[in-house]
Amino acid sequence: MIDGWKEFILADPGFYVGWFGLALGMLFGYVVYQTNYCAMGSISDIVNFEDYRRFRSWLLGAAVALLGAWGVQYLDAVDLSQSLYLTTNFNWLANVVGGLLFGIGMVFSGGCVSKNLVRAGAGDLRSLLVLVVIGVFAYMTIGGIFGLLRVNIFGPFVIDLTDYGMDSQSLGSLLSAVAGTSLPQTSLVATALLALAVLYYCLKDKDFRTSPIHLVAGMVIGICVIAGWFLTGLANDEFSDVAVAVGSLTFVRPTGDTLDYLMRYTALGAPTFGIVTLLGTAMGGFVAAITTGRFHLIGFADVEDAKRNMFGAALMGIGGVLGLGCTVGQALTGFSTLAMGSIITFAFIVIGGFIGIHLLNRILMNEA
Amino acid sequence: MTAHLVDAKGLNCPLPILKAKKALKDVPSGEILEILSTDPGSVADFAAFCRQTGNDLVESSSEGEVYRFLIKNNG
Repeated sequence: MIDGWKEFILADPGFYVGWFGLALGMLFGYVVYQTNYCAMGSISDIVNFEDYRRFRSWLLGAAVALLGAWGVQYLDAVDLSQSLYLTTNFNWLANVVGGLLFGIGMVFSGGCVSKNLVRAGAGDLRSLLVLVVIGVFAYMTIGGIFGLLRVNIFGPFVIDLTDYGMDSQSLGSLLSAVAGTSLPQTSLVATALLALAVLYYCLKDKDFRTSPIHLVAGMVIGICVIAGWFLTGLANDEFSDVAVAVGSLTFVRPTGDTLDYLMRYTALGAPTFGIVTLLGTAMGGFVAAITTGRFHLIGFADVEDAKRNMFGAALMGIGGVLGLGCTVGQALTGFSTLAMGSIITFAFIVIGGFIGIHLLNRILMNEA
Repeated sequence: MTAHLVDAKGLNCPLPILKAKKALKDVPSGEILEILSTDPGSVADFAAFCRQTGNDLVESSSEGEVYRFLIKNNG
């Protein structure tokens, strides 16, 4: 059955990845808007009034994505080892610093990249500018003015995992190398145990269990990540005319890619999965806002508001490149591959979020 | 018109919540705090805030792009 689907997609991978990716992004954006799903907001809820439901919703999405990614790989629809998350170059310091910067930045910009995409679709012109700044700073960090600095600072800390007998940076590969057990079985056990632990943490809470909106948000977003793996896995073929990278939802680099694409459209081919899902997410926010009568054009409240948002956007652009992703790209998509770098970035985005909320609160308390 | 007002129009999450939380400290028990916001997410945010803190969300309404919340301080 998988072979049939692969044949179908490979008949015109640019077309199918483009349109299915757009639809997937729209579903994601629509659900984010309608359920108020927000990684930064989930940390704010914990700090400000000890409500863990949105945080559990985020974790539920991660657990669903983890189980689903294993499932689509088991079905041979995708080879996760082809993804950028499982490289043998383990840049742990960049994961730590990138996660922290991103986590702080998303607080100052009122949400992470996906939240700003949805908000921009709903008419928030601040978010539109935040996205432009994220894209520019991401590209500046990849190969622009910060590129050499990034390589010089973080390059020396890269660990080549092949020196330790590992063929990827997956948790399964690490445990397999340490315990001397077979990789497939160890990966399965690690996936099952981690997913069960996260699911137990989520579902043990009655408030979360009895809140359909949080349950639906986590599950649908996790399924969106699985669908991304499935689609790009089917479309990835070394003999195809259109090169489709194996991946799923992620938003930092695609923000820069989208700006580049919009500016150099005639020189480029079909849009990538990252670009179409990013545009779809904003469109999903637009549809949700229009259908609920909440579409309004909004600008910055004042200069302080503009400064906060630009500062946060710059941090997210830099941090997202260093940490190789965002609250979706690393915390859901990367996490679903069991990549150690993704797990580290995820943890430090959360820590950065807590620091950011406290910093913002302190600034507020010092105001007259 | 209430005596205690937080104007969070034009501000994104988490600022409306942070400002309301700060203002509630100066609102005597039993009195009402009025919050104005333009962030659509604040509707769910203030519902959750009141649910968790034990304060009453007396009113949650909207007029155009402005959301209005009346919170009775039960602290």
